[in-house]
Amino acid sequence: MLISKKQHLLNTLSLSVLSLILGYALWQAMSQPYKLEAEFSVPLSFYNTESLTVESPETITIRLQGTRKDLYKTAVNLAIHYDAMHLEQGTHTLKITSGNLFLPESVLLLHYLPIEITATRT
Amino acid sequence: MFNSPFWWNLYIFRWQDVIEILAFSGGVLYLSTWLRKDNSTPLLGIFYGYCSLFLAAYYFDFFTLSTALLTFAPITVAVCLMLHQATLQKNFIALHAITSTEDTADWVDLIIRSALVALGENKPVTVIIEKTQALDTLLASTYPFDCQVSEGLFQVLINSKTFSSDDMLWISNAGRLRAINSQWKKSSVDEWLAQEVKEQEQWLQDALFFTTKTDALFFKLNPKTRTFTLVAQGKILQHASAHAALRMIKKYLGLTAQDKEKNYAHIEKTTSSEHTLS
Repeated sequence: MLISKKQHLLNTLSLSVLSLILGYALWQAMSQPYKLEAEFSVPLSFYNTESLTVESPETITIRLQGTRKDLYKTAVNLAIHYDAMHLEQGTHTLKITSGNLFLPESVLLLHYLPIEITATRT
Repeated sequence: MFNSPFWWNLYIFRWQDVIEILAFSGGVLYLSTWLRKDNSTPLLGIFYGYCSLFLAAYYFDFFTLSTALLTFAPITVAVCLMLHQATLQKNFIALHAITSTEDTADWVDLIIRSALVALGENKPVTVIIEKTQALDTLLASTYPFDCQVSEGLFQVLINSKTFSSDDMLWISNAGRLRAINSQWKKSSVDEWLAQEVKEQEQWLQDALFFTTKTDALFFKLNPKTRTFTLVAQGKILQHASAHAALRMIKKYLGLTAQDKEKNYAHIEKTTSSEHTLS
């Protein structure tokens, strides 16, 4: 009786694990062609900052649109790169574009938060 | 660059994705559990095989094949339904759950007693008892009945000229006689598969083979040793005494044991393994 219960449990457990794997694989295969929107929290980094001090938020939340594959390739290396050379002394509102994120053509930048990113150069 | 969460590697970016995966997995699990209940055909294997083929085609970039497999999945199911109508009928319709309406297990005592009486008249009785799955599509019979078993009924039947002791008495788990002279409905595939246990006698080969397809219990009385051979779920229990057979049948069918079994005048013989069928 115990053996049969254990066997039943093992069967149910193995069937559950198999179902989870198969369910994931099917979901992955079926969702692959479709574009989705996802939010990412990315670091804001400045370059050309020799002898400059820039104060700004550390991370920005961005919303991207693309296929899962493209989003994954993009998201693992995602960061906002901003050239500090163009900043004059004082407080500025930064505008983020796809170029700052080095996004591929297949991934779109929909919006980002906070909308007004202020950076102060001293 | 910063450390990305591990679930991004699985292309999971949103909590909605987790819900979707769980929904897919739940659907697959529900279907798998349903298909697993069918013992007669490897429907679960076919289902996993089809899914695996689709996934392999998809991940190895056989675009046309994967699209075709996905598109034609409903059509494939419909074609299978038409081609294997008899099998599916057996699997999903005839093997409906049977619920016993009888509270007592007296009828088992009666059958055992009648089998012993019949053996005294040199008519060894073979019995097949349904448990939860109906046997309509596995058994063929020219003499269908639908009545509660009784001692008188057995006497009339056993003494009847039409009664064939080579065939089976078909009894439901509620103790209702479904048919006499019942035989297994063998397809050519079944006969071929049953050859795997060729070292056994034909009736035992058939019993072992067909009981793997359902949860029915088969038993036959040996005229030489006056002991019972019980077969259920492809397992065999031989040389069981009447007392042991009675206990085993009741236990297997989940019937309440009665004190009446103590009243049997029989020889207590050692059973090979009483727990084999449970």
